[in-house]
Amino acid sequence: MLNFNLRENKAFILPAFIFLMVFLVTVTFLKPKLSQIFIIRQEINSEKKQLASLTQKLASLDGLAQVELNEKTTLVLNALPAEKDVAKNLFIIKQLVQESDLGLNNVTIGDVGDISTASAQAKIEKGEVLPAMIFSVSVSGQMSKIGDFISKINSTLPVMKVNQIYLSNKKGDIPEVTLDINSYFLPIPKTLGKIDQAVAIINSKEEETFEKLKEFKVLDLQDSFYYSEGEKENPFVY
Amino acid sequence: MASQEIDFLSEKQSSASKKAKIIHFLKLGSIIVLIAYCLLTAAIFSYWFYLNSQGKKTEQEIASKKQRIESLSEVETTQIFLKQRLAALEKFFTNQNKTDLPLILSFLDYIKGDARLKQINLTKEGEITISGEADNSLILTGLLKKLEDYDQFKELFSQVTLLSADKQKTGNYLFSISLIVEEN
Repeated sequence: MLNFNLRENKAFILPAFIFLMVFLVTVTFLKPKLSQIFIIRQEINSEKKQLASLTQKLASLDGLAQVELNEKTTLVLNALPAEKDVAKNLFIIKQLVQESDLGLNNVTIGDVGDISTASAQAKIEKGEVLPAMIFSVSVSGQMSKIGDFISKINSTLPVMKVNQIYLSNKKGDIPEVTLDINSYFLPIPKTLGKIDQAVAIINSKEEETFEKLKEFKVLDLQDSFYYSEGEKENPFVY
Repeated sequence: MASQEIDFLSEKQSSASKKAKIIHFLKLGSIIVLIAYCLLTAAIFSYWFYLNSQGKKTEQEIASKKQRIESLSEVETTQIFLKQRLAALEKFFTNQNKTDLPLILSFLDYIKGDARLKQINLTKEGEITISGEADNSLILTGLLKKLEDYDQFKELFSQVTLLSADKQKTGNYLFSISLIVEEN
């Protein structure tokens, strides 16, 4: 049996008590605190990274001028509308045909699908990079004027492209040409600006593209049926 | 004869003194350890408090930045919108072949003579296929001759191939020609 003589071992009580206390405090308080410190440090590190990216994002956003952005967006929207706008395209094609001194015989609109809705499905044809509406435009006039019309199509917004040319020129007749014109659009992106995502930077090639767009002609639609609030002109009448 | 004394107490005293020394060291040592431990504990707690306050401060800063970013959401949305469209347009323009259609049309108008062109088929790779009809072989030969003699021919096309020339019962010729546009 353990015979502990308190009087004899009195001197060892204090050190023993101290070591016991140290052990108990370490196990109950210090060890959990150290674990917490480790976790907090990790959290702080990731928060600091997040803060750095947010600071950078904020600096980038502060550097963007809303007015300039709006001006750019207006032009870019003219180039690539968010929706299929049949009426606007018809008006522009009709206007360009008139300017080229050609006779407009017929316009057939391809598979339009949902018209003028933000949710309009953006189906991209094989070999294309953008969704498009196809207009088959039949015009008659001299070849040089048809060439002029194609030049106008290539240099007017929205972005359009002549894909196919069908000619029908009987002897002595004024050439009749049917042009398949693609008019491009692009729906609004589905996700806009996640808070932790860096600001989209417009690179030099995209800047060049914007400069290129500035050279395109934008038709004034203010006086057209397109903007008239009253009785609308029928765009299907040539 | 000198008597020899045996001091039994000395060994006992030395043992007691050793024990006292050990006890003294033990006491002193444990007090030093306690002080050091207290300091370490205080340092750990202080660091924990510091980290906590640092964490709170960072969280507040993040919240404030997020709030400011949200207030600029319109700018960001416009920028994303602009980026999406410019990137798409850049890809579109890069993908376009550089065929100068009006020039090619005026060229075809020049060479066709009395032949009737029916279709001009354009491909992304810069190949143009024209199909048409000639009333007789002379008209078709004339068209081919003009094609060969055209001054700017080499500047416009890298390759021209007569794909077909089919004589019809009526004596007319249906022909198709492939023109590969010269890349600048």
